[in-house]
Amino acid sequence: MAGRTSEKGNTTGKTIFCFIGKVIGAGITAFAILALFCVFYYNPPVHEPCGNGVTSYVRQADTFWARGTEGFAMGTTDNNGYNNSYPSEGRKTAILMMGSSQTEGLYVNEDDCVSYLLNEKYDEDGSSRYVYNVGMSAHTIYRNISNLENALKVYQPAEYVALETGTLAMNPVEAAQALNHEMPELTAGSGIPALEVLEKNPYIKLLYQQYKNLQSQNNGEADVTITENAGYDVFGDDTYAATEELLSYISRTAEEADVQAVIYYIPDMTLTEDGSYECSASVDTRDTFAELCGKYNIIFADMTDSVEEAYVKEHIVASGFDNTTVGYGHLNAYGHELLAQCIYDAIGEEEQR
Amino acid sequence: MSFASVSFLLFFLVVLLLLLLVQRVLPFAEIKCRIICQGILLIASYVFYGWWNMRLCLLLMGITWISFFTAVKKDEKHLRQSRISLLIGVGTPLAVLGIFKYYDFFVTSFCDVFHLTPGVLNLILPVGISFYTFQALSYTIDVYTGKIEKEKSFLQFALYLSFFPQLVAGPIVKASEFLPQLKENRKVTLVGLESGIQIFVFGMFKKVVLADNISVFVDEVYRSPQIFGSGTVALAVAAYSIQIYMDFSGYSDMAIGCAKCMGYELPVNFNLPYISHNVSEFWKRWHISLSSWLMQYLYIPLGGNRKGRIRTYVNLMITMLLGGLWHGAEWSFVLWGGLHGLALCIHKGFRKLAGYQKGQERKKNVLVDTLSILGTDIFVCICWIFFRAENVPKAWLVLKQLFGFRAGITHPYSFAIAAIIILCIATVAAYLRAAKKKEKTVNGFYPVMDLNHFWSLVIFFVEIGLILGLAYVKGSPFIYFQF
Repeated sequence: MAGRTSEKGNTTGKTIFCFIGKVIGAGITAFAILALFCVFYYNPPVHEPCGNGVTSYVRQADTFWARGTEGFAMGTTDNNGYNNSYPSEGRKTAILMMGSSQTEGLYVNEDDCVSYLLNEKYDEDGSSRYVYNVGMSAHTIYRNISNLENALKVYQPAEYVALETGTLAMNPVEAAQALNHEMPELTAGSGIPALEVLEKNPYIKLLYQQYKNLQSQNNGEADVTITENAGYDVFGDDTYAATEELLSYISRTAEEADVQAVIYYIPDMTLTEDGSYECSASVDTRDTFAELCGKYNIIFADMTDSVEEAYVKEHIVASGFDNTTVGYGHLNAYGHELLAQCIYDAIGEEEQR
Repeated sequence: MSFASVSFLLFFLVVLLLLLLVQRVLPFAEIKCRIICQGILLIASYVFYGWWNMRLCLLLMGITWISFFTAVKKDEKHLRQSRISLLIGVGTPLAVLGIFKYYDFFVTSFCDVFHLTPGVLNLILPVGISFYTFQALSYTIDVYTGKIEKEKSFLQFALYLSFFPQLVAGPIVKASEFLPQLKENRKVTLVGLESGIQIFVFGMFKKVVLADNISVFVDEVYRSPQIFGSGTVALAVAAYSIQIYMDFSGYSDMAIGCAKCMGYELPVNFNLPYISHNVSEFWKRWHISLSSWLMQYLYIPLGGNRKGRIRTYVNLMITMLLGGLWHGAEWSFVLWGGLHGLALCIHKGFRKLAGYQKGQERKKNVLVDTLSILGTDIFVCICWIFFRAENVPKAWLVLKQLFGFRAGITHPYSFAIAAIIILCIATVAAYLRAAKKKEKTVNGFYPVMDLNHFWSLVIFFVEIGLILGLAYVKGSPFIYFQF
């Protein structure tokens, strides 16, 4: 009897042990399947430290990336960790683009990105200018201004340096930080070596993104763009002074590097409930900014009119994708096309003067 | 707390562990074990309900007390007393429901007609009141008609009304279905856990991955339909029909799964409603617990189809209009119910004209079947417009944009298209299963696997992984919570 009970106990123990083994094995297999799924669904290359100060960090170099959470796009980063897939064929950089995730363009296919489209235009018109894109997520105009000298030193563009801005009335505090090179640090990854391997797993990246989305939800951040009214980017005395100071710095620094500065404005657009598509900055604000740019010999490329026109005439919205709220988030392929045309036209008009 | 939340998962784990502990400690004292377990479930149910608002527990307890003590069997010798008891037992929960849910609506509507200033109460609608009120009514009426015996155990009756898996959004469980289960020694078993957890996860996938992600698109189109093109509005209309199905059936699945984990069976609430050939069949497949409740306690007592053709149509319309009103205090819900009532009347009339006998079905014909299903789906989708829109004018705006072939923003929302494809695949799977089993009627089924097999475990873990990775985390309450 005791023997039989012991046998039964051994069998039960074996069964449980086998089951636990199956669970662990199945878990690992499932994790691998999910990671494979995420290679094509959500796989932005992780950030790595940038040693030369052009940007606060770069992406993993020569790495396949894919994104399906906001748009569906894929591509490969270049050997510097930026999004440049247009063949340079040994050409020197003529135009250096500095911007945020909007310019980086990891939400559209690499051949739909603004820099790729500009390269195509310059090849088509025979000038064969080469555009190099160092756009990087979370890099506002303030951060790019802070990094401007380094960027010009490293990449030495021959003709232009183009900076993205999403705001026109510059914040005095951030402007001061930019001019004094005292921008808050942006860390590349967790900084914990043990987690670095995990951070490169696409499924872990997706879970982390979900966690960030949950945090932003808990912090009360909404992602609805259809709202009652828009308009918050206005000039006051302090913001005017800050903007002028920044533009003056940009102009001087560009001149020292023997290039001309271009500022391209990606407006924050809002769809109102009655169907109008409004810019956060009024016409007066945009005109004031354009005047200031003119004063400091900076080319101002404002895509607001083309964005509004596309909406009115063709009901096309320049931001948002088939898997997001309409008009919300990053520029879509059409938005990149409009932006490329806007920058191309602005530079062209300046050269014809 | 919502089913799709970490707090609920922790709460449920605690409840399961407590039940398992009692089963372990008292394996042979069956009655004691049953009473303690049911006590734990009752307390857990009130904790669950009180999580929304503690005062709601007082309301639920009040309705429980009244229903328990006023339920009496019809006594011919003391007819007056038994009728008064019935009146109190039915009238009180209905009055409470009426005050919380309909007072402001009717007062405002009345005042609008006569251009008066309404004096509203602005009461917050208690979560789940429509569901447990109907459950209380079903008990009182069944006891009165002698269908079931009056419940002697207050504990069991209170648990029947408050059982947390189905408390706030159904399924509406009839007393005759659930009280007998409370007489048995229902336990947490491995088999129950295995299927219950899988059904729960299946329901969660439908809710947080499909329904919630679709809601982003539907909300923006219904907020401002005039800015979208007709194609996009049509996609949003179709997407809403899938959203509400995934949301509600997902919740029902989670409720059924939870109950199964604890050893209890809740009735299936949805059975592939979008393969219905006509509206009558639709109501046998959609929100089955509500439609069977309405048939048993409203349609049949009104006379059903026993009082002639005209009266049948009137009874159908009354049932569906009140069914619409049950969903919400808004004329758009009444209109939605009315449209379905009208369709039911037309279908009944057509069957009469075509000479069908009761229960007789026409011969199978693939083309006719396909057109019937498509036609029914289109009708149901259009009716959902009134259900979803904030009010009748907004619903009309959606209809104008839909049928006006107007230009606007084109937004082929990928989750909506993916959900349509997933639903089609699931439907095909159901058809293949029915064909394999040589079943005449195609029924839905839960894809429950034997988790002792390695690949079943892999699929299960992948499903959980997809829920974690694809869930819409920005908050979207269950649609039927508002009812």
